[in-house]
Amino acid sequence: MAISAATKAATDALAVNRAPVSVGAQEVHRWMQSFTWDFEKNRTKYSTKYKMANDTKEQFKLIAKEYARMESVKDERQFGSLQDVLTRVDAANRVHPKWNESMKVISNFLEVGEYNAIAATGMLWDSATAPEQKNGYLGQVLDEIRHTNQCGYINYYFAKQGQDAAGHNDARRTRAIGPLWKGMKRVFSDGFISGDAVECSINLQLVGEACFTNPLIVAVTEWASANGDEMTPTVFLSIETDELRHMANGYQTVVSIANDAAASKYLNTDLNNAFWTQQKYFTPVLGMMFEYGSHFKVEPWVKTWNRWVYEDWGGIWIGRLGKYGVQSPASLRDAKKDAYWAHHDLFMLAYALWPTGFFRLTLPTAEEAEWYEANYPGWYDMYGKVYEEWKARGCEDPNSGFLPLQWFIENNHPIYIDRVSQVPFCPSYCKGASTLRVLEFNGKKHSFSDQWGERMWLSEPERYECQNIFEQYEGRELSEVIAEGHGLRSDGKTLISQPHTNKDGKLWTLDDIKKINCVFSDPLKAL
Amino acid sequence: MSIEVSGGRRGLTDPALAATILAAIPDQPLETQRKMNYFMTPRGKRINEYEVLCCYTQPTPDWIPGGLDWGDWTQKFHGGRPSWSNESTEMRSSDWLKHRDPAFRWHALYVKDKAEEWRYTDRFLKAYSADGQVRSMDPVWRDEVLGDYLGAFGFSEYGLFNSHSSVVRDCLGDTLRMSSAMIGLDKVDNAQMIQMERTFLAKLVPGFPESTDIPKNEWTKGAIFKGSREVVQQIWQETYDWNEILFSGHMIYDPLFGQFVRREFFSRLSSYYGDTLTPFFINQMQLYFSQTKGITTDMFHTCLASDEAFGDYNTRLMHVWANKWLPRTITALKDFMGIFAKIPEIQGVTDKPAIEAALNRVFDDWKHDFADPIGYKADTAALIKTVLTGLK
Amino acid sequence: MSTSSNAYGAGIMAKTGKAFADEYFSEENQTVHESNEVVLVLKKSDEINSVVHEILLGDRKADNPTLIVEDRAGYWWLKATGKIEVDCTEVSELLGKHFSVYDLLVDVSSTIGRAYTLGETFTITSELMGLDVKLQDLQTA
Repeated sequence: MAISAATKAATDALAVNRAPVSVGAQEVHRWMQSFTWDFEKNRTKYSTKYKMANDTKEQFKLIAKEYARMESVKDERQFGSLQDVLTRVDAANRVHPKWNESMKVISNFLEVGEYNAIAATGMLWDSATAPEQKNGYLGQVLDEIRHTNQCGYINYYFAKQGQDAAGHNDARRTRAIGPLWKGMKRVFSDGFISGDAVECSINLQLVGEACFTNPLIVAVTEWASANGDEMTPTVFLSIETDELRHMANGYQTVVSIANDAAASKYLNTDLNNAFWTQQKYFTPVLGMMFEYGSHFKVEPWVKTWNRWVYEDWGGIWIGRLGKYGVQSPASLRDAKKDAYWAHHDLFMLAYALWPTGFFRLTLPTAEEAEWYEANYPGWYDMYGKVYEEWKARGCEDPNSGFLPLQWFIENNHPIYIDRVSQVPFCPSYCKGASTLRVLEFNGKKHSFSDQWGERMWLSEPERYECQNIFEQYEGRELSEVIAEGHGLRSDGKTLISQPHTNKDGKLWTLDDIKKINCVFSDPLKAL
Repeated sequence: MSIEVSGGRRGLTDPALAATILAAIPDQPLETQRKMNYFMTPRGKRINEYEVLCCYTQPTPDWIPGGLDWGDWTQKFHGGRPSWSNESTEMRSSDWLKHRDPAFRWHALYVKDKAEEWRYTDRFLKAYSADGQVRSMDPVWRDEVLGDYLGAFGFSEYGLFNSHSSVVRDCLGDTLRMSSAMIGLDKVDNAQMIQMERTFLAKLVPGFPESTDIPKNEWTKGAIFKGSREVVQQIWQETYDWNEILFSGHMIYDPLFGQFVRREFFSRLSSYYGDTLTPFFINQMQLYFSQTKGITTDMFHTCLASDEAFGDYNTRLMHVWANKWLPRTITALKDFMGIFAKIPEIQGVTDKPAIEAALNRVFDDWKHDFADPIGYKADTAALIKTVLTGLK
Repeated sequence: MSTSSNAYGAGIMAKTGKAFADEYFSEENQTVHESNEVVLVLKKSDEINSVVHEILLGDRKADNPTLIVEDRAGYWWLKATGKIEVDCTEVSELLGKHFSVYDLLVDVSSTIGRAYTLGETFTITSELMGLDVKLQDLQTA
């Protein structure tokens, strides 16, 4: 075998230096951008009105194997903590019951967002042309699988070891009964995967992840810790270690279209729509879960929102992009109003419809009422005194025959569902930025709570045709709906949902609900 | 005690907070059913952890078989196309959530395996370099075959990787989606390992070209990969049915073309040319191939071909797809035969009888693992004969 | 309590009740304001605690005097003007074990600003990477 000059050089080099040599991840990554090639039909299957640049970079320079190593180290830590020390100290049984209930919702609903983000980033991986950008999205696809599994693990762990497994053990089946589900699907499911690919990226990454995961996945851990829950910080803070790459993906999506003429025409509208879409659901639901789903409070939700959403996301992400034409979202004023009041509005409605949940809700105590009034002046007159009335009528007691939903009917405060966000609202009794608008199209009435969703619907009504729970359940009796949606515990008669977390309180059964004979009606039919 | 706490106080360890919390906790658990997803039908005797963490995460309505939700999509594509729909594939299923990765790998188990492979790769490369093993490598094999053709094969793996993007977006089940993403990541890992080997060689062998320019030129303009390039492009960008993408890539093209190139060319021949490096990487790719085979045969054989309601129809459709993709793959293999004219001949290794024997191994495996289970009849001897006409 | 404008409870966050609401709903606060700050969330761990106390608030404190670090139970919340940088070769020396930039990322929970890696350095900056400043690849000999 002939020895080439190169082989001789290699031999000579070895004589000088016999140190072991390997290859680092970034040494491979720097060739990634050249992995693709041009061919005639090389185009995405998912259209976008923007043109994404071919040279967009990835900020963290990961390859498949280093990604796996890094994630594996994360997993060793979090699952090691859960399976070892947290189990040994019986941590799942040292969580405040109210927070145990909140985690049924938070973890499962986050799981849905993470799951849909697998598909969303699959679409973006397809849409991007730059291999580094594709690589970033691919990493995110895998991350979202991780997060889906991690969120499931929280419910799995609480079900296995905690004080009330019901709801944790079957959230994937029972979540579809209640009024929070469809809105969650819009914001966390379809909003990520159905539309212009860049619009979906703005929804998912630039707004959903860069903005709302900070309160949802980071700030929530402080509330969890305060209420005795160390499982959630262990898992959620590890989830968030992937989110920074997702935020970078969203930012690089904007970088990739920054020089495209379409960006100056459409980006601000898409950004505003995404901001409103995400905030419309997250703002009230997170605020409700934090404040009404905890015993110990960390700070008023509006402060959390002001810090993470307005000051930091607004200033550091959106504000800094101002010189590239990115504007403050036009809907910010309404969003801020919602951040102050909408979670109080939503809790009233969620509590009124409590039998349709897969978790237990608790009315504020006197001590909490004081805290609310101190932090949200005007809270008592609007909400506190109503809760006192509900309590006085025995809303927690199965023998009372009273569901708070009756209060809304008696006082002529109809509850509507916003067609676009699917979020319930009561226009005649709310302090958030909701007002009733009703439009008719193809013989069907549609209610809207705000101009932002209404505008989206007016331009593309075919995107928002989904029936809401009142249309779906119209004419059905409540206990039938609950039974059909599997909202019962393993004894086959006690509801998973309850209107209290009092350990000495009686639990409601399906028969208690049946006795009330609550029949759903569609409020739009009455207009 | 105030209900507002801050500064990092924890209910688990702060005595005052803990006392309040413990006093509120029920004396007995409120629910005895502690198994998450207790309502589901497991693949095995009991619901396993993979099934708990993955199954029914897909939030589809019940009009997509397997779904637990009801109603319509809350937001659709412009023009009204639904988020997910039965029309995204010609295949039919009674339950799109039925698939299982036979290894029951959820994310943590998947990355753990790959992390171990990476750690060992790092140690292997250090040992190989310190040992000076590169000195024994045939220079033509090293510079032309590994430098050009192995590099060019990396584009085949990269293209197949990209074919998974729309599958990950469009498929109708949770376990399907997770499995598809994982087998997609394995493909880009293969492409990256090929570049890793080339970067490594460039460190050890002064003058060895690390750049992807020459391999890309070979892939895009050369004759050896012409057929495979066309198949990969068709799978990646011309095929919209997500099941057809998986079937064409993993049930036809890769078990035939990919297996021949990886196992019967690079891995088998390398030792004859003094190359103990390439088999290290190829064997990782072969592990991924075998894991992928487990996944895709579960999808197509265990689930779709055996579906009680649609099995016969699905099997017929698989035959149609095989008829479509097999000739293209045969052309790819035929073109690849041109590579044997580029390497120093070794009797009994690179001559025609040896190549034919290698092709027989690949086609026998394919027939046994992929064609026979769905009753697909192919004259493999005739196919091999066609491939061999590509020898120069 | 810190008096820095970067502190967790700075500015409007120090107010409560009506005073908070007045400023929150004031006309000037109905649009976003550009910020030159960056925020970093570090999950508490054995290694991260060393990075925070012995490097960011220790040897490298003079590099960014605007840096604020606050304890939020499960994580450290950091805010600084301009940028925060961690050189993982320094961390390796400090810990007495190999600690790559990707080992650091194991516990970097969130970033507000443009974060990236180059070699063994992690940076989060208020600069617009990819727009105003080019992102670099690893340079090899």
